[in-house]
Amino acid sequence: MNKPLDINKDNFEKEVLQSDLPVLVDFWAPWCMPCKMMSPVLEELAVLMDGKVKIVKVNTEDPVNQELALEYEIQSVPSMMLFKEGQLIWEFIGMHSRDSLAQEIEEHLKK
Amino acid sequence: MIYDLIIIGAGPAGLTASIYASRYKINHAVIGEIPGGLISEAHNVCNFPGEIEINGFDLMTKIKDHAEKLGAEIMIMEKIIKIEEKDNIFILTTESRKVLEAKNILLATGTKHRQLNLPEEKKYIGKGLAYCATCDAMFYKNKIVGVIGGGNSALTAALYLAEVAEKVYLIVRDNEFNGEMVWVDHVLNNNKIEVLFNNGVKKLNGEVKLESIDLNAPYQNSDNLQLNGLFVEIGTEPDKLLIEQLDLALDKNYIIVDKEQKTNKSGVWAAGDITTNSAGFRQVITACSEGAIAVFSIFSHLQKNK
Repeated sequence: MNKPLDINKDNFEKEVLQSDLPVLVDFWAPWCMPCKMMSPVLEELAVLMDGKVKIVKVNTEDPVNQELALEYEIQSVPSMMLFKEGQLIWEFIGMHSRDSLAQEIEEHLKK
Repeated sequence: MIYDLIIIGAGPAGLTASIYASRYKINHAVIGEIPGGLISEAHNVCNFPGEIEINGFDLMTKIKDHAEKLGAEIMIMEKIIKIEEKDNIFILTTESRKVLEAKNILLATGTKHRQLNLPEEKKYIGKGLAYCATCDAMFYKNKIVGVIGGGNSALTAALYLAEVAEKVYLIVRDNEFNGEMVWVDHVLNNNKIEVLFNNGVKKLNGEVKLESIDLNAPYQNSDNLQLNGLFVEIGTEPDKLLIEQLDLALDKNYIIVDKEQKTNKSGVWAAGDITTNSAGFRQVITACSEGAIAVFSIFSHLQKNK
């Protein structure tokens, strides 16, 4: 079953930028309540979009990942970024329902 | 299957309603877009009886567990996008095209953060403009930030930000606060927080990120205030989608309900932040109370119409 994968700065290149599948990256933080609320949403989304999109999570509180958070100018969490063939194609902040998120992703991947 | 009751919304009002509905053995389901409602974002809830201090997410997890333990069918991640009525049955369609039917509905969809409504607002979301202090405060360590608002959420946001930021400007529209005195005292005694009463935000400025704001009234002889982040805490407003479809009577966008939480439409009750009840005092406890009262009324209605 497709499940969100925890990644960090060390495997970001391989898991996101070099991924064959499009990747949705969730930049989150343990203190952030909406991030906690989005967690089950992303788990269901991973199942719904199995084979179409890979979902990964980056903990911005982890010192290892702070460079990544700076590079992608994260100032709000949850921040979601959609990558296709190594390119950032869409980003949004805050909470979304599972179905509206799936719909938005499908639309951006079609472009 | 036709449910006797579908509760739309999985925040304090909807889940408390479900607890009571289970106890009254009302055949019901709860449908919620995102678990928990707005209170889940709260850093600290200190006024819910039995919980001296708890974060909003944990409080809502407890209430949800309670509702589930009593046997409630809770469908989270489903958003109702359409409600129609046919032969006294409500037909609800979800975003994922599921169709559900109910004899009665309880609307408990709560509210969402009110925005500044400035044309340039969208450009700065996540780039200096934020709506959740507990989420984003850590990105403003030793920076200068502003908070706009004068109620409890603005006061607590300012205090939370003052723990990490170098300086916090609290911009209040009126000449006084509109929150609990405990928070007001903490704010006034915090030397990192500077309060600007009778003021507001006219414009957001910055190339890519927010760099400064234009104020409605000058502060220290300038109407431009340099800052790295602005947190918007100017209250909440209901989501209009279902309200409009049901053609419910409103007062300033909030659903008018009677003392039993009944709306002007037969078969439709409303509870929680979305209603005009509880004197507009939108708290977890008042939402829970309205949810309970609504179910008590729905139970009587079902008994009469057996």
